[in-house]
Amino acid sequence: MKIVIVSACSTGIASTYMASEALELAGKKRGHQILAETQGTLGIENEVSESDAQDADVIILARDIKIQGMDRFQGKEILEIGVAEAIRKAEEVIRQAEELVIKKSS
Amino acid sequence: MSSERKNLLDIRKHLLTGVSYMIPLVVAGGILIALSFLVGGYKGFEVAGSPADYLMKIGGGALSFIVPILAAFIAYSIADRAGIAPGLVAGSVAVAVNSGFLGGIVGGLLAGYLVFYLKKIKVPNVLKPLMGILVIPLVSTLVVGLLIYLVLGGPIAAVMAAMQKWLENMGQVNLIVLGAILGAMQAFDMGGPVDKTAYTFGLAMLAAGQYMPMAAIMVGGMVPPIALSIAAKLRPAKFSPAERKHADAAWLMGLSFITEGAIPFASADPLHVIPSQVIGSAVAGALSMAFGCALRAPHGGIFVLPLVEKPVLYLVALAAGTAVTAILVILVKKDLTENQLKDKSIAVGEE
Repeated sequence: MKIVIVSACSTGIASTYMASEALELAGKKRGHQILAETQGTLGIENEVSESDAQDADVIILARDIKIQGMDRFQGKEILEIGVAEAIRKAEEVIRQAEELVIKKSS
Repeated sequence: MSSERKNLLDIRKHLLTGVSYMIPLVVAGGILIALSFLVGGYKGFEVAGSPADYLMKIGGGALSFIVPILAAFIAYSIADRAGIAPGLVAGSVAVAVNSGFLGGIVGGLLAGYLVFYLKKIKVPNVLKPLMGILVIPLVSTLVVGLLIYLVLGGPIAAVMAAMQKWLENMGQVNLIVLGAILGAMQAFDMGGPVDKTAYTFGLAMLAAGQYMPMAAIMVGGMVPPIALSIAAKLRPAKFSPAERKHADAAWLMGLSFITEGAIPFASADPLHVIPSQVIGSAVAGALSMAFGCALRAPHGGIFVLPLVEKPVLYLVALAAGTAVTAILVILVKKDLTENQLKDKSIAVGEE
């Protein structure tokens, strides 16, 4: 599965990146193709293009604050979770995302 | 509930978005003003053209934006770009009527919701541009401004004043308890919702001119990663290889007030680690209040130590809390079994 991950916490220095890494690792472990964008205090890093976003099977937003550029995800299946949850329960989150895709296609 | 509705009612997200854009201003403003005092004493800025003068002016300039930006980005969280301008004005008006941080929050929410619903008004396509460039900015700004000036500003200002008074008159014992609670909240979920609540309270206090809570919060937040790194170095048998590797980075994260550095240790063994760090951080926070430590900057850890009031005692508070957590962790954690020691998996995310 192709999964796009966008993470944004409120201080934008540590949690944002920890969430991104945790989810990316968990996703790759399950054999998925992962594109991970972070929206930290310095701005957007590894920005996911609109075409990549539309190409994805599911979007995971690990966020405590508003995500910039939501227009890219028009019409996509989106799983929204908190940053803390992404850090601690990354594998469970990936599984939830998988279920979302399976439910949509059935 | 539709996802649009859910998003609207997610007050926490709106608040945190506002806080997120506000933080750099509080950091720059708080530190520059503290530096002004450091280089020129408390009256140094009165000497025109002195370094202290410039530091105070620029720092003051930064701080003057914090409530407007808070309000603007709360509104942005609700209504996107169109919320920013009315949010800015709402925050500015909130300051004008002395309703401070709270006024900024209320104003930002009002501006956001107003713009959100204004955007939903159906107009013929020819008139749409007019809505965006003229009607929405004008109407939302006017309505929110009037609401704050004529209706909400007074009551909110009264609440802020009462809160100020309550804090100023808080007995020593209650202050110490507050410090303990604030410190404990930092350690409890390390960057999670409880931590953020305490931290936002600290920011609100900074905005209101109370500098002791933030000091307690910061020292409480520094303890867990430093203490766990020390424990991992002293008793490696109780930590997995992944945790021990992480300890090499975690101590610096702790010194930088990045409480999240303790998350891998807490995730690996929550039952033993979390209570230990909550107790240690509570001790640090309590001591910080007891000693009268105060801090104008909302971040920076050890690097803003020169700006802390009573810096030596602050270090004592930090050391005491760290020692308590490290000792508790070492005492209650069990040695890992052979198999656990061989496990090279990363602690974070494994439950």
